[in-house]
Amino acid sequence: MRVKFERSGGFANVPLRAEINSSEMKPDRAQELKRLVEEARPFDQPSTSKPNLPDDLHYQVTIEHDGQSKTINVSDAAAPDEMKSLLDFLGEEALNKLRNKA
Amino acid sequence: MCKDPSHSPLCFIIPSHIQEQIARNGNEKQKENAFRNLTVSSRLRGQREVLTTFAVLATTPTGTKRRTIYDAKNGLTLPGKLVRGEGDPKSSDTSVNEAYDGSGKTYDFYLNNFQRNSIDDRGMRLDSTVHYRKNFNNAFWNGQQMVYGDGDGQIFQRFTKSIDVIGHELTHGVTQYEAGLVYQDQPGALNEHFSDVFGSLLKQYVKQQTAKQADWLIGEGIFAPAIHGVALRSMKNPGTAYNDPLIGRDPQPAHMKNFVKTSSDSGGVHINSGIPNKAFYEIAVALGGKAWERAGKIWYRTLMDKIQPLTNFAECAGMTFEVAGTLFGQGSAEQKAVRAGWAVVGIPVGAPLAKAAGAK
Repeated sequence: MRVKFERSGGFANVPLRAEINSSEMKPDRAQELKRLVEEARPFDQPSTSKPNLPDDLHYQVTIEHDGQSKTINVSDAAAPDEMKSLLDFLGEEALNKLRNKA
Repeated sequence: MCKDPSHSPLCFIIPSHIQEQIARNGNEKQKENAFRNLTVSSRLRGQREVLTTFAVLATTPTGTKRRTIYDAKNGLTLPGKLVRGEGDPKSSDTSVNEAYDGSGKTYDFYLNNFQRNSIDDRGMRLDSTVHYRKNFNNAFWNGQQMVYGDGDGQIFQRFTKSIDVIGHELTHGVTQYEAGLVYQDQPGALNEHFSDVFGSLLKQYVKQQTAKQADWLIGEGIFAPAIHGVALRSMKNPGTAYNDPLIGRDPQPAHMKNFVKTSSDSGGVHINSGIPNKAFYEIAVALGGKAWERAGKIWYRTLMDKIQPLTNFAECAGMTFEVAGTLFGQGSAEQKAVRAGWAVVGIPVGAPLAKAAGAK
């Protein structure tokens, strides 16, 4: 599974961008990602939802998995709980990736 | 009545006449919710007579703070478990105490300087949730309450650490009730600007600093130690707050000629707020003394009486000029300082608004 992850906005507005590949993850993290994707069902979600609340985070996430590709633009507050958990996980992975580069 | 609190400011499905019934006859919680909805919807519709009719039904006496702190215990559910109410003894949890003390000082700041009785000016309870999610890098106002993350420890520390962050979030509530500035493009950047102004003024008030003594930083000390930066934003020198290999550099402009056009961050609301922030700093320093006394008063009255949901930078500048004239006299030192401050960032005022740079 490949994921293009971009987070912007929020009180801090410190953007975070990274490309994540499950094949480069530790096996337990890759397993966790698989579980979170199964629960969040990103391929069944609407592509955009943005109520524009003050200091809300925004995400643009493109997921490629099993021959499917989907881009989601979602604000944090509007995301269902299962999606929030996936977004938090992807944020951790994106930061790890950046730190390894820096 | 609104299951998703994130939609509360815009969630007025129940007709106002039924809300009025609830405000009269419901239990305490129902009354409070109904009154809150009536207040917001009426203010946004300009129906101020509704407010005077029902104010008596749901107003908490001026000077009565009501703070409630909840702990989400790193979960997703808001508000979470109640951990400290008004008058309760200190908690062993630093975040709980910071949220409690910070919201109390924000209440005092608005009351003592602007005679404002809480976020809605009707004594609204100040609800805060700490420890929201795991490693959550944000703080926000969800339309009903403040929510604070712990930070991931790599980029950010806990968001309650800096008192101006607390003032910033509560001011989003004030703006929601009084002006309804749309959170997009220039109106959104003004929404951010008012939160930064009153967040910074709160910190200056708590420290009893003059405009010259103040650091004019937003979010000082919330970066993790490894990050190269003093704060998230600088009102004195927008664009200079941080510069770090991991997270990049502070993107704020300080002049209209550097206005950033972008679709991210709701059209750069946290970016272009640097421009009015710089203007406010210039005005406050030119006037000298305590910034909340004159510059802050002009900004507060502008937010109360003038700002509309779609006000842009040039219009806001003109409004502050007009308010300065009303409060301190036409041609007063205050009004001249307002004009000079906006000129520094490339927004002429006192001239016809259509000629102002950056007007849409």
